[in-house]
Amino acid sequence: MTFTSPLFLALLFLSVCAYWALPVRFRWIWLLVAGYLLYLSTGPAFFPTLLVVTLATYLGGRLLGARAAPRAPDGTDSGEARPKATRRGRRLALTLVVAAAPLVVFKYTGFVADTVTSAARAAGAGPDLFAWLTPEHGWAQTLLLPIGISFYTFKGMSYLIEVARDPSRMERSLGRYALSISFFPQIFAGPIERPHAFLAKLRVARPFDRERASAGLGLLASGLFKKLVVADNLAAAVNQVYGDLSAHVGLPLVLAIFGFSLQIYYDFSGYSDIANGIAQLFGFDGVENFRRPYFARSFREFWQRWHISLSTWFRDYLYFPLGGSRVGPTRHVVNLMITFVVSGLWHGAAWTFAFWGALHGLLLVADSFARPLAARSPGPSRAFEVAEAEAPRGTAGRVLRSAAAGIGVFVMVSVAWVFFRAPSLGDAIYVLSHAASGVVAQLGSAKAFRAALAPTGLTAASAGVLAVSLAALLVVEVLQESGRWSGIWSTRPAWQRHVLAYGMVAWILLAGSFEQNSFIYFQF
Amino acid sequence: MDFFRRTFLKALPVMFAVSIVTVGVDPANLFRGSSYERGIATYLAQGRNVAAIGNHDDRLVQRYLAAKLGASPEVLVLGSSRAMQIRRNVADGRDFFNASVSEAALEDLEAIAQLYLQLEPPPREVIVSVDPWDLQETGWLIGWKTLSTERDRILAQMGRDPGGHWTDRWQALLRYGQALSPSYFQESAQRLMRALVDEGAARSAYFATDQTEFDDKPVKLADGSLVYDAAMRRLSAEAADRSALEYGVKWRDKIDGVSRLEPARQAEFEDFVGYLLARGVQVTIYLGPYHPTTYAYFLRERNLRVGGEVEDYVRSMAAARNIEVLGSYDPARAGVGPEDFFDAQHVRESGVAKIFSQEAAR
Repeated sequence: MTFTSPLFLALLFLSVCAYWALPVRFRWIWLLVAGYLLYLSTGPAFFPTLLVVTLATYLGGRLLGARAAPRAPDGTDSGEARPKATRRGRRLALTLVVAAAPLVVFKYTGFVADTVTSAARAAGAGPDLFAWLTPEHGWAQTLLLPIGISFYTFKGMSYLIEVARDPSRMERSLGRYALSISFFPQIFAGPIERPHAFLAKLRVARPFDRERASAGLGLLASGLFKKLVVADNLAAAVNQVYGDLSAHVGLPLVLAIFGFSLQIYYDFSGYSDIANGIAQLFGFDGVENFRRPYFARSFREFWQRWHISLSTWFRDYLYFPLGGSRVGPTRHVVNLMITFVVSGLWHGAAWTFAFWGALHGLLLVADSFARPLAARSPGPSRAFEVAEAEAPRGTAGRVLRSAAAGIGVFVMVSVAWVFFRAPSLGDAIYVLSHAASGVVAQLGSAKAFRAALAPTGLTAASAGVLAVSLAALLVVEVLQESGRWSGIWSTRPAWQRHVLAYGMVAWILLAGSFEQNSFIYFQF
Repeated sequence: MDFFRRTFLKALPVMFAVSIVTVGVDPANLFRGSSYERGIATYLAQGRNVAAIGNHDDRLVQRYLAAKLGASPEVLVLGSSRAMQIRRNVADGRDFFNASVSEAALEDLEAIAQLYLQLEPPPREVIVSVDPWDLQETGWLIGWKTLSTERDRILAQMGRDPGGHWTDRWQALLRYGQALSPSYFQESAQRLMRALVDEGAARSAYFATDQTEFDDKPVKLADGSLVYDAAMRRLSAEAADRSALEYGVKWRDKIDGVSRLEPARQAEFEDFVGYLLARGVQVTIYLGPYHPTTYAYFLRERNLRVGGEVEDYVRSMAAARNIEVLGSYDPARAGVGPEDFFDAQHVRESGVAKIFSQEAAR
């Protein structure tokens, strides 16, 4: 049962009604049960792993936040009771290892074994000690990756780190802590909300807020639109090309490159909108996960706008502890590269993901070092943003430079997505090296153009649906970017908003793809 | 709660509009009762071809047809749409009927076998077309639930516990859920638009005919086999190849949705075959080939582990019982080429003829 199925939406409606009808003290229990039931619906075999991670991080938190002795008679904290810094550091390391163990075992054992085995074979080394773990020997068949494990494990790990930093953040109630890990709108693919932040929301009385619920419904509809109308219709053509790459050259590959770029954005931001919309229906503020990332004019800005809950997680718990940018240039580069390669491997246990992360690391390194250089240089090599800053606001030159920078970032990010989507590094290189082949001839006539795109399964009707839908989203995002959207929307007469809302629902029903495609990030 | 009441009331017009279109157009005849299927069965029982059959429940046709027949055909084919091109000419002049139904699961084969085994005399030979998915839990195939009573009956006769599963009434309730199904709504809306633009595109009633093929409509022949419309019959080799590749991509990690053999399904299949043999029925197993492009894709992507496992298992099971196996999922082994396919998994009559002629040659 996915978030886009009519059955889920019907059950959600009933669940929200029941939630607000319940006495306040029972509501969190209702949410916990709903989360567990939803998770169980994906397969009972995955449930024990969720329980193990929840329990391990809860007990780890108790260990890290423990006060062994009561406060002194004068009410002061003697400090003896709390673990000392070095001991707490050791305890934190231990609890993090325990918390991450299921993720490592389920997600990376096969990958590591496969890599070691391949390296050993290439070196002509002795017996394949790890071969029995590789996918070709049935590993993947017997040990399926529990859905959402990367997300709820990271939630648990951030809780442990926060408690180690500030023991007052320890949660005593196992039930409430379990809810912070398995809050059902976030359980499958985030946003990775920090448990202490969620638990703080849980402690505050939240009366029903009509405005928040209305906004939640709007987000839900927006997410369904992005996922069903845009992402899933794009997926049909993109999957067709990636399914048999060697059969395609030129335009189909170009379509696959930029199509996937849009697909993954609208798939994941659609999911995040749905998750946040559902959270708001239950009275919780959502967690911003996307801020129009393809409007970014630098790679650094892109990562401030893309999958925000994950990039801030890596920033706070990996990049900063490594030293961040407050170190020498070489170490700064190393810190960036480590952070992005680990981020790549978090997405998937394959070299394509590691390469994708490394590529983004390099782009960010270039971005970081070009910035001060550009600031020093008065010549034509100055970065767009420096020139942009000097141009009067709203001038054509500023707009053009800004647009050029944005397009440049979008193109490079789309190129990097090829490594994310392609089955292997060789396939990714094939896509990039053959994308320009024969394009001129394919664009030479309408007939050649249609013939080139025919194998993608993209018809005039589906292309029209996508063009109209993407144009509508672009208009909304431009207005959101300029900060005018909420003003425009809220000042419209009610009848106009109703017409737009009904029109959007009708468009989803008529143009959406209802083949129950899973969200891309569910696999991570 | 007032907010949610208002939200529900605002959603009502949408749900009303969706259900009006789906129930009104009803392209799969879900809401029209069973008179449609009874009529088709009547013509087939009279030995007549039936043309222009719209979407319908072909399990119900089998139920009504068996009820109208005095005796079972001598040679009976059980299978899915992949076996619908097996025609009377393979039966060497014996009385023949192809009782294959679309999206058939093992449960369908059992239930339809029960329909014909209760006739006097029962069939002498049953050609069982085995698809890879027959040997896996097929929760997504629910068509057989129309015949759950017949399946319960044959399971009891086989000495197996029918277990608790959905009843006909529950199946009927599920149908009504389609009134609010977005995908059924889309299909209905498209049909409605076509009918509004072109009156000829509106669903025409089926009719009995002596013709065996039409350009614009399929024909269910009196022997139960199917003749597609011209668009499908004249599909180019390139289009078939493209369709074969699309199919491979769709089921990239599986073959027909099957990822592994299920021991429980193997046991049930063996019990079913054993039951037919015990009733004195000669059993022949037919393995419908896949298009060479699809098969090559599966080989490249997954070494066709499951397809190979199913075929190996079926062959060893058949050999142990002295049952003849015709065809193969591997087109090369089945002796068919790309020209013998409509698409990824549906072999043409020419392909079927090649497979059965190999049997004759042996």
